[in-house]
Amino acid sequence: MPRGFLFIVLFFAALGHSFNTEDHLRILASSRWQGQRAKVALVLSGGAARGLAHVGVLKSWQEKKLPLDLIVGTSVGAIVGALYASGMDGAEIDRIIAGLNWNEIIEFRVTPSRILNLNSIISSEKMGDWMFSHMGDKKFSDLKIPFLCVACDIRTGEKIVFRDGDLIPAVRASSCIPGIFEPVEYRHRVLVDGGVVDNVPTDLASAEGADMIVASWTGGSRWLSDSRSIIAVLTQVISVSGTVLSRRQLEKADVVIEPDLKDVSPLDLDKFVQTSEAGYDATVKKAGEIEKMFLEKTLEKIKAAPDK
Amino acid sequence: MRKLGALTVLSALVFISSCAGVRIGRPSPLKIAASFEAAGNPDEAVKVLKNASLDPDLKPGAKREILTALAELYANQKDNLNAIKTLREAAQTGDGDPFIGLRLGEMLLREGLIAEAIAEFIALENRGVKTPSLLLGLGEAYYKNGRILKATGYLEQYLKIYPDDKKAQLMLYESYEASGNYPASRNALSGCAAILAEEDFALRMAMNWMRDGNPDEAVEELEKIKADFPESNFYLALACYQKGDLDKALNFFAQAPDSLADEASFFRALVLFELGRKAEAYPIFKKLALKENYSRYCAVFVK
Repeated sequence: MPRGFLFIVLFFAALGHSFNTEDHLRILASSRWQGQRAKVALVLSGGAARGLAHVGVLKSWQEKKLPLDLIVGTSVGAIVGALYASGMDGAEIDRIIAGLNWNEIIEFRVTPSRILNLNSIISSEKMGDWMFSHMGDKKFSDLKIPFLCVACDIRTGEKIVFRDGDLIPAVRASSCIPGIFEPVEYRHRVLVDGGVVDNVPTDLASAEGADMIVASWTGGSRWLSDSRSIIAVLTQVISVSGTVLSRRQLEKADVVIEPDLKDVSPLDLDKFVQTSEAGYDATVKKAGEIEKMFLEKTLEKIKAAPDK
Repeated sequence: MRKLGALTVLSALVFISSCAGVRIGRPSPLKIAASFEAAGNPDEAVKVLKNASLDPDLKPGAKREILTALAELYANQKDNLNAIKTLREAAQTGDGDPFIGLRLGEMLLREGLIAEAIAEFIALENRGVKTPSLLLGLGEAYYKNGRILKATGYLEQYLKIYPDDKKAQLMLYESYEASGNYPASRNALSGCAAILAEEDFALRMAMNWMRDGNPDEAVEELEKIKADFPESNFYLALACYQKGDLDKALNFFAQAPDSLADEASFFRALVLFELGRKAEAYPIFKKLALKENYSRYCAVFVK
């Protein structure tokens, strides 16, 4: 045996059983109070490549068995949220995205002959195909976890909320960065990335009746790549304006998970492993607080329940 | 045992040094340190090895042996930080001895430097090392780091090699429990029953059943230890509360021992509240709201 006996004895003496109030409350919340427990929403922000940290967030969320009743997503948060809501587990999403060759699904359209009439720099069609290969032709009603996503009608500036119908057009619209991807025409609207109007839609979660809102915030990039390319500047503009818009929305969240992404730009798709790890670690750090908040909100509902 | 281990390491190194001809002509510092160690004078042994390691003419291999032995002496004295520092110095002498990396990882783990321990173990894994110690080290490090699935994977691999390692089984049980895999958790817990006190085992099993939504099985487990273990009254109360047998729950909460008095009062107040006996519940919530563990939850009822 690689370890000494004495060490084992000390280990067990130190370990012992130590169940705490949260352990005991959790048992009741997951059984006796199941029908009354607090409804928890996870809101996944935009952030382009930075938003892939949501994959790590969900992976950790699942591992920690944190309660989840609703996912709301914008932009990349809509893509990751839809994959998870459709029944994929966090580790599976992590594996798929880690193995993804982005060059295969990002099709640049810029050629000298087309530049004047260009609708977009990158075609989102292959992105749609990729989504289809993982989510099929699911509708919102087919999802295992209720899910909403937002997009912006570029003609009216309205915030459009998708909660029913086909999933993929809604997710494509929600993640369609204006100027980079071609706007999605859907339901008589011309739609672009939801991050333009609401980069972290906590108010939607609240309107859907969530008792507790956790926001995974991956916007706020202050990092602009040296290239100053059109794409870099455009994504940074959206990120900066999204951050300003998001301040009040973040105040509506009970807990904010903010992965450490200080050296990840919105274009750093090749830093996925680091980004996802950052999301995972940030969630591990917040898990205790999320759980305590959940139990507190559940007790609030018990208190408010009519006498039996 | 640890002391015996260090003596074995020292003796082995003495033998190797003799063969390698470390300082032929005068006694090897390892030999001298081993004799001090055997005579119960580890401080002198440390001094000898520390001085020997400073010799500028020492070849890297010999220096590594001396530093490794010195690190073991520090570890025996529970001076983990010096052991870590010395192992790091030993690692810098080259050749990438996996033993040094493993010991370093283990010492970092023991010192609670989990992220650094993981980095050390992963570096070894990336070099193709796949020893049981490494699997256990990674399992334990990830377990302590809250990375339940990774911990489970390494511990499962380790237990295929050493199925009787109870410590690893206990960690595996905890990992399964945390990830909500309750049947697997029960199996792992049964596997390490021999090293747990009867009441500890029964209590863990009862909690597992309650988490798995089966309070009847929990009651069955707790009944076995009820006579000798007054704490079981609290858990019997909790199981009854979970089942919806509120009067019985109140009765058992009242029998909880002093060590669980506050916990029992808090849950008793919840039962009273659910029974509509709010006038009895409020003073309990109010009193417990002043205590740190309960303030957050009791505040819900007193505000």
